[in-house]
Amino acid sequence: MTFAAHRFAAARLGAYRDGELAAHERDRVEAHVRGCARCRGALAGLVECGRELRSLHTELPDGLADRIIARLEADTGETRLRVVGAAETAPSRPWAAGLAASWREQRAHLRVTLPIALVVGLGITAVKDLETLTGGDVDIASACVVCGSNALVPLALLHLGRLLAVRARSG
Amino acid sequence: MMTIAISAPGLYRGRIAVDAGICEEEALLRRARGGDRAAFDVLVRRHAPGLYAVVVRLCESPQDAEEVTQEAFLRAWRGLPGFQGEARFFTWLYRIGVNEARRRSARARPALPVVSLDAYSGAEVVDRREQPHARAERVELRRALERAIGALTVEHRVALVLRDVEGFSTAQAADIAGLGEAAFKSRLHRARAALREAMANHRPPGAAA
Repeated sequence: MTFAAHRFAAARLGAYRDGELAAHERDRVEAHVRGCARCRGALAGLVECGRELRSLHTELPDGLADRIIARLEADTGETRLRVVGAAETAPSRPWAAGLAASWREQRAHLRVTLPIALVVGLGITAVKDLETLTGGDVDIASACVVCGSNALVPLALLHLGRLLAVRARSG
Repeated sequence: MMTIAISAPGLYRGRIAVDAGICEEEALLRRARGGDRAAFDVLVRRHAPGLYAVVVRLCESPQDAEEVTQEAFLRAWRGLPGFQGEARFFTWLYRIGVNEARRRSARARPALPVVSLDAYSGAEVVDRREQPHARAERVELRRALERAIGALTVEHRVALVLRDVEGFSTAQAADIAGLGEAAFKSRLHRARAALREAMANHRPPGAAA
């Protein structure tokens, strides 16, 4: 038994117990452990401790699965109520419900359309009122306001176009 | 070849026959993704015991663990349409539970009394030689282990509980913990070292984890 072999095996006892060593490493560890009482003891300790740790597994409290299912049921019921509630109020203001649904649906697309609209707004501002952007006494706030307002129309057009395309696709 | 009896790590201690269960689970998932609550209820009954067993070791109390388990299933149900199946369902579910437990633990930990390893290893551990009865000795060892695990940091507990208590493979445990395998092994190594240190006074030299 060499010190190097002992050090090699001692550092890998945990991995050996876990079955995570490559075949050649496992063979080296086993060859050493056979002749080393200290490593045999340590390995036995690891195995025993592993067994004890597994025994700490905790059982599910009685009725918890039922309580989870009941909570899911309540959650699903609430969702249904919200949907039904929205549908019930829809006839009085169908355009509002449609607009709200459309907004929810299109919100995700803002990440794409908003930058495009801002760039277009900047372009429109540049064409219409170049001085706002390049004038000697540039007021950043008013330039932003002008660019923003010029971006609103392209933004609305982009979303309207997308909405029409979706409706055309769905027939 | 040397033989040492080591039970192979597996899912939920045989609660699920893994190979046979995968196809069935995928079918249940497909139905649940389509809004079939009954299918999801089957998944709840199947995975709640394993998930609870993990989070109860990460939370400050069994009540907390119950809440975390419920919350994990609720979030999984709500997030199911977005679950693309890039991970196994249980890995995804456990990750939700473990993250929620971590979040609560981080919030609650400073306000709660932390068990000192020094205090624990000195006064409360009974000398092994003074315990004539093997059963009493086992009970004492179990208590000592529970205390030692409870005193670990939550990240060390996550690693130790997933791998050593619940018996997940390293790949599965790393996935649940949100770590690469190498990082997980390193964390597990540190967790085991901390546990070994905590248990040093309780066990004979050379027989610790």
